[in-house]
Amino acid sequence: MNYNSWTFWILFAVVIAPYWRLSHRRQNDLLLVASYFFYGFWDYRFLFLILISTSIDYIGGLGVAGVRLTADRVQRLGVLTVATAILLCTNVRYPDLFQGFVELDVQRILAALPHTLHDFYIPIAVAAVCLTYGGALPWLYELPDAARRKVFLVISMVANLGILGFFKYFDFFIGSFRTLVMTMGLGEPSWTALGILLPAGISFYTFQAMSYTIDIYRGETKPTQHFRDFALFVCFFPHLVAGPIMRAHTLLPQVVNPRSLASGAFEEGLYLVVIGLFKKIVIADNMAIIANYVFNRFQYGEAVALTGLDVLVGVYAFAFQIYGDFSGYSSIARGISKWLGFELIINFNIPYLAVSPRDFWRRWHISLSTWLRDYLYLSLGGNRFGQLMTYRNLLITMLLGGLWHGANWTFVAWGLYQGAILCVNRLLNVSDDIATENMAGRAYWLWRVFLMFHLTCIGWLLFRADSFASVWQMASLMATNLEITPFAISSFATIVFYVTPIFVLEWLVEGERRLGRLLISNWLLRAPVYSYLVLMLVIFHAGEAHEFIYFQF
Amino acid sequence: MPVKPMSSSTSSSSVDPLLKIVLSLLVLLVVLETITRTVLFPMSLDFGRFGSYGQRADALQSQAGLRVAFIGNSATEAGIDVGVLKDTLSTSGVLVPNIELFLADGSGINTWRSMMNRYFWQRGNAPDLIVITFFGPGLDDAREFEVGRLAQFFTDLEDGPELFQFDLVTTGQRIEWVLDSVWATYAVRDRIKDRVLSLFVPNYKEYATAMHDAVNRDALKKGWPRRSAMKSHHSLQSVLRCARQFGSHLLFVAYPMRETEYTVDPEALRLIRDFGADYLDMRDRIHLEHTLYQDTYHLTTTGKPIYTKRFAEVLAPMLRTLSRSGRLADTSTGAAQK
Repeated sequence: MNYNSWTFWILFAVVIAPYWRLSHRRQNDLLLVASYFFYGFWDYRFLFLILISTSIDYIGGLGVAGVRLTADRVQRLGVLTVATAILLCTNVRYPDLFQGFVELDVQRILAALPHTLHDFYIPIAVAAVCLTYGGALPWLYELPDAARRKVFLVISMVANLGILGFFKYFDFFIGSFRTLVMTMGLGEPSWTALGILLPAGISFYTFQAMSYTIDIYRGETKPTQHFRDFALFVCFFPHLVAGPIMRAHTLLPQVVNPRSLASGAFEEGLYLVVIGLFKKIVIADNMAIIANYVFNRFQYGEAVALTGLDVLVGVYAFAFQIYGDFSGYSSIARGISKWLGFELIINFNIPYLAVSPRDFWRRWHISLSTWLRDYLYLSLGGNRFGQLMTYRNLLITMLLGGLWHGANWTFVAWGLYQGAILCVNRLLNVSDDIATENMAGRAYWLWRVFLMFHLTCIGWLLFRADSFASVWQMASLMATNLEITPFAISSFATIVFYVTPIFVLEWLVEGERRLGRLLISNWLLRAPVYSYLVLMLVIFHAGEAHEFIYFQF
Repeated sequence: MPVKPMSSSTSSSSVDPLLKIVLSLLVLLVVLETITRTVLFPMSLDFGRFGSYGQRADALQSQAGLRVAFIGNSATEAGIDVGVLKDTLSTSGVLVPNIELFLADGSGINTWRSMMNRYFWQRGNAPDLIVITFFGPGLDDAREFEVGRLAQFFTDLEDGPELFQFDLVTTGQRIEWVLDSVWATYAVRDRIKDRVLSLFVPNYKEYATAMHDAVNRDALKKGWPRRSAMKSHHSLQSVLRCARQFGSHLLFVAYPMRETEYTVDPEALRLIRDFGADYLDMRDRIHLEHTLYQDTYHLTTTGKPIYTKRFAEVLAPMLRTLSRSGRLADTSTGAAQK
């Protein structure tokens, strides 16, 4: 269920219709049910993972803060977790079961139910973990304050990263290790990848849940004792699968406290939803056609007819695709959150107007870059231990940031590349404050934007290419053959057609930071903007709906 | 607990401009809809053709002698030359005076079923022979297809229940079809998009064609697109059933593609056989050089008569056999009788 699908908007209509007529607590319950429905729509079994993350961090947060859960509440949480494991992870074939009940066919009902011990492995393992953890809790609470805080934090981190590591990286590392063993001539290992399905948005909600426990550990936020509120904090559907990654101290109070629809919030939300849909459906999906064409030629070994300029245009197209895709999702998430009385942070601020790598990461995926800065870079020591350690910390942070995006060595390379250009940026120590009052200043600013955009594009080449061989081929072509072709001209014109108006608009309203300027302007000024966006949405969407790229992260 | 209804939180001063914006947008959409219906529809060759299919089906029905209807997509259009077909059949001693093409680009069995319902069965028309040319999984039920065209030209709102049961199985498709049925601009948005882009993008037509072909080829590399993992043949069964009921004979022709192997689903072949229809695999009957294709599916102007001629040569004995068995009208030519 994507924002660019009718199904989502039906769900949202069902939620918003009664929403503002309900009490605060019922609003939260409605949002929790809708969020689980939204996530379960991909694959209901993955709901169990969210529940596990939620339970671990709920107990962890309280444990770090020294708030004891009563035995009764621990038992109820354990029963809920095991029951969910039985319902979702025992291979019950629900469509058959439903059909069996409709037809009163006992055989069909029995056939749809789990009937081997193998089917119950997960619930048995979950029950064992619950019993062990539940049994150990009273003992953990008795530990000295510092030890208790550390132990609960470590349990939370290990569990979260364990789930993320298994579902996202297990097959990747197994595959890489197999390749390594075979390359070294040690024969073909017998173990193979498990073919694990990647749960949508697992990196987003895992990072958000982890930040909750860490923030409590650091004394930056207080835990909630209300499980359903915490569950909503973890799985709030507008930003569940592709961010922005919200911090507990920002989002949790909005969950816990009654909300109201601020004046102007409706139109602000409307603008954000429309511009977000525009970025996704009009820009990203149309740019995807050009980018896929170019990158697929190298993936399928059909690139003989392409020139370096064709490749460059393909990389430009991908740059705008990923921007439209991801910033579009963030805009829609912010817009519908506003309609629900929530305020999510701005995740993008015209990143392609950045003048340096440091400036870029202040504008691109702001919620991730600040997360990595606060929980990884600073934890590694930040810039407190000299230049060399700072460079090391930058490289490690960005490398892991790259790996966060996906289980592939090209993402690792992309992360390293970003770390490297950040290091060079730091080494050169060039100021980002550029005076643009005179012509020379404006020209210098333009040159820096141009340079940074192309540095970013080199990164996107690593990010999008299917292999290093493709990266090498594409880069070589760009360096050696810039022959102008009809394809390059047509593609470039297509990019300009789709991208230019929206960048002018974004430049005028400074991303989403000065949105008010537009929203309080005369309606005669706003009407053409909305008309343009809606008409483009109606007519210029790419024929094929593409999933949001960041769902896979 | 203070609860604010949505409307109460929006001050009247901010509602009025928003209402004006919405109204101005509605006016714009109405103007665009009018332009689409009055200017764009008559300008489009395709739309004109779709609009004429009903009359052409009626005209075909009113003719004496064997009446043949070709159903298919752009591959049929690029592959069948009616003049060459008639001449070659005639040379082979088979007289087929009435041939009419009913084509829709990128279509498959779901769309063809709707076209046959609308132009043949619902109007009481039953061509003697209906030749359905397909490739790949074109006889399997599709999960995605051009809903806008289906809604505007090939179905009515009363077709909804049947479409919803077999063709438009997702909520999104159903909403899209309803919108497309009543909102022409939305239904034909791809055509408007092409027209606007051709003003801005140099060499747009050639560029779009090349990109479209590449997208199709890339999709084929990952398996046939727009098909569900579980094959089904509701549309094929419906077509076979209706043809039998109305007395039309069906001939399914597997079309040869460039550099692309495909297997026709055995279940589809079984259904064709069980319903007494004919199946002709042209891939076994002709080898076409790559240079005779424009792209993966479409023949060049040189390839078109070559394919048509060979197809007619294969078709002629089939028609004679069918005619002799009484399943088709007499197809013998005077020349042949001499």
